[in-house]
Amino acid sequence: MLAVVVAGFVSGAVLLLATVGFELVRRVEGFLNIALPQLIVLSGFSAYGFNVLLGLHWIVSCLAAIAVTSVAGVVSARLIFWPMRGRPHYIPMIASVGLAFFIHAMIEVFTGYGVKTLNVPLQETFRIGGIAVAGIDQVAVVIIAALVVVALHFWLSKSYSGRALRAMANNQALAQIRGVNTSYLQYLTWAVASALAALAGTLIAFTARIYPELGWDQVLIISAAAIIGGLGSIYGVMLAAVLVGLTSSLATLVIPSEYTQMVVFAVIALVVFIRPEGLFSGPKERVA
Amino acid sequence: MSTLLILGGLITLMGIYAVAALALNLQFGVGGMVNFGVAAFFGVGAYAYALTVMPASSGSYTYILGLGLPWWAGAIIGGLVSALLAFVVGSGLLRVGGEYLAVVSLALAEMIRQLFINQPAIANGARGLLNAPVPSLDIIPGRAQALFVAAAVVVVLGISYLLFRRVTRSAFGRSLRAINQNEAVARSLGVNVYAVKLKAFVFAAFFMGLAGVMYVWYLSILTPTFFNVNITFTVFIALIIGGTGSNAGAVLGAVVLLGLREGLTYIQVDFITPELLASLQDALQGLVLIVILLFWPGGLFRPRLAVYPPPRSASVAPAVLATSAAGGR
Repeated sequence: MLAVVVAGFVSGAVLLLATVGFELVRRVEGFLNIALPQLIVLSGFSAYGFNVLLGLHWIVSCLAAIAVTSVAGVVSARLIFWPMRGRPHYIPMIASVGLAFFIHAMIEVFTGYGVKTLNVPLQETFRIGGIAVAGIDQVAVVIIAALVVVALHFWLSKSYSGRALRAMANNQALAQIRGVNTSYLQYLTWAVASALAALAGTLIAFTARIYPELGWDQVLIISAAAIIGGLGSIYGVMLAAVLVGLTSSLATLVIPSEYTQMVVFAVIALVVFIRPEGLFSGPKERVA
Repeated sequence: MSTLLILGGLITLMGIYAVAALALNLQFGVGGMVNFGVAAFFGVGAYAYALTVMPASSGSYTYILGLGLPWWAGAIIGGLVSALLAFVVGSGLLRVGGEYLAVVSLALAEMIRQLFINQPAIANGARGLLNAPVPSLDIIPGRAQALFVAAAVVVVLGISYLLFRRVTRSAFGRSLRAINQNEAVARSLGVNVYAVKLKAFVFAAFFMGLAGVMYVWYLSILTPTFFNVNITFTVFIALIIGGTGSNAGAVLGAVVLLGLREGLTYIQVDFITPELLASLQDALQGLVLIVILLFWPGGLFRPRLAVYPPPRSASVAPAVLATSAAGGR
């Protein structure tokens, strides 16, 4: 029971990182980037490549994978999404699906089709009364995610670039008039968003297994968290991500694990039908 | 004879995707509804057809129903079940706006796929159903039945093309187009936005289900791979190549895309395994989609607006639309 709760917090923490990256792009650029979850897999598999195929130390290879994936994210924005500015918001969304297919297929071509794990030394486990509760790696994941949340909070609320970013997400033209360097901030947004997805990918590779289909599985669960969190504050999204992680983990206690995704889907459906503005957002602004 | 059969198979496949692309054109090209769940409607139609047409379950594999209806009745039921699903999904999602439709319909296809895999009692799980009945005539000898299927698909395609052309040119189609261009303006002109969208969504879903039925005619087996996301995006790419918003474009896009894709499978290189070929096909499709959206957004056929003046003489309109759209958001 306790182990399941811990597992829920771990998957919630990983999901939180990815969802915040997804939301950053959604708010600044105004479209759903279906390719972002594929960056999770890209980062997981590059960590695998550096660690197992090239034989680097696992910490080094995780950092290298994050760097590679962030660059890939920024390049994809520069080449594909920025030239599509000013067109209906579903055009870049459909293009991002094309990119998702491309990344997914390239991962399959270069690393094969199986399940992969990193070459990480065996972990100690914490025990309470002789029952294994949590591995050190699991605790590390939760701590890393918590540190990232604190860092994001201070970046977005205290620093100049964080506040300028929020201003830009709110009204890009106004931010530009007020002297915000929007093109620099767009690079920053994509770098941070991709780095967050990449961090999520390396953490999954570090604690569990990675496989090429992971990206498609994550798309659904990340957009679920984003919908449940709504368009209010980013903290609502973070809370929603942890809740989705916990729910899908706790649901395995009651119903067979094949149906975990269905539980998540049922939650999305409920939220969309009952409270489409999201659970944690204020009253919806009237439009039109 | 064998070349004729290959050609017949190719025409069947093109026709199937052309019908699906026509349907998607009404939803996405004309109505602006991003339905990432084409595969859900496609697969549900296919399963509804097979389960009503096959004889009652017996022997090695299990499935529900098995009514043993004639093939044409099964095809209509397939379309209707798909339309029913669209009604259930659309009645909720079309109220709340674009992004939710995209995400939830994408999830929907995946959920239904999982359901069919995890519940073998419904339709034999991941192994699927073999030997689903296909339309046939007694007077046609064995292998030439495939040509009869091709002819049936072409007839269905012809009828659906005429229907969709009629619908997009009607007052209904024009109000759908108006909603896509500016929902607030359409609403203030007295268009019942939700009802028009829902009708178009359900009507198009009938034909997506029918496309799934025809895919069973083509393969005569069906597995949960009918719900794969690849099917959705093949249809999207066909429509975007052909020209979003144009019925002729939807058909032509399907012909071009499927022609290219099936042509690729004839490439024989030793080190390319079927698995690798499938991956390369996916990568190529993704790349084609991106390149077309970037450099050739109109596709092969731009939609022809019979009623409106050509864009040059109405140079003020786009700017007005753009500002009001920005304000509307």
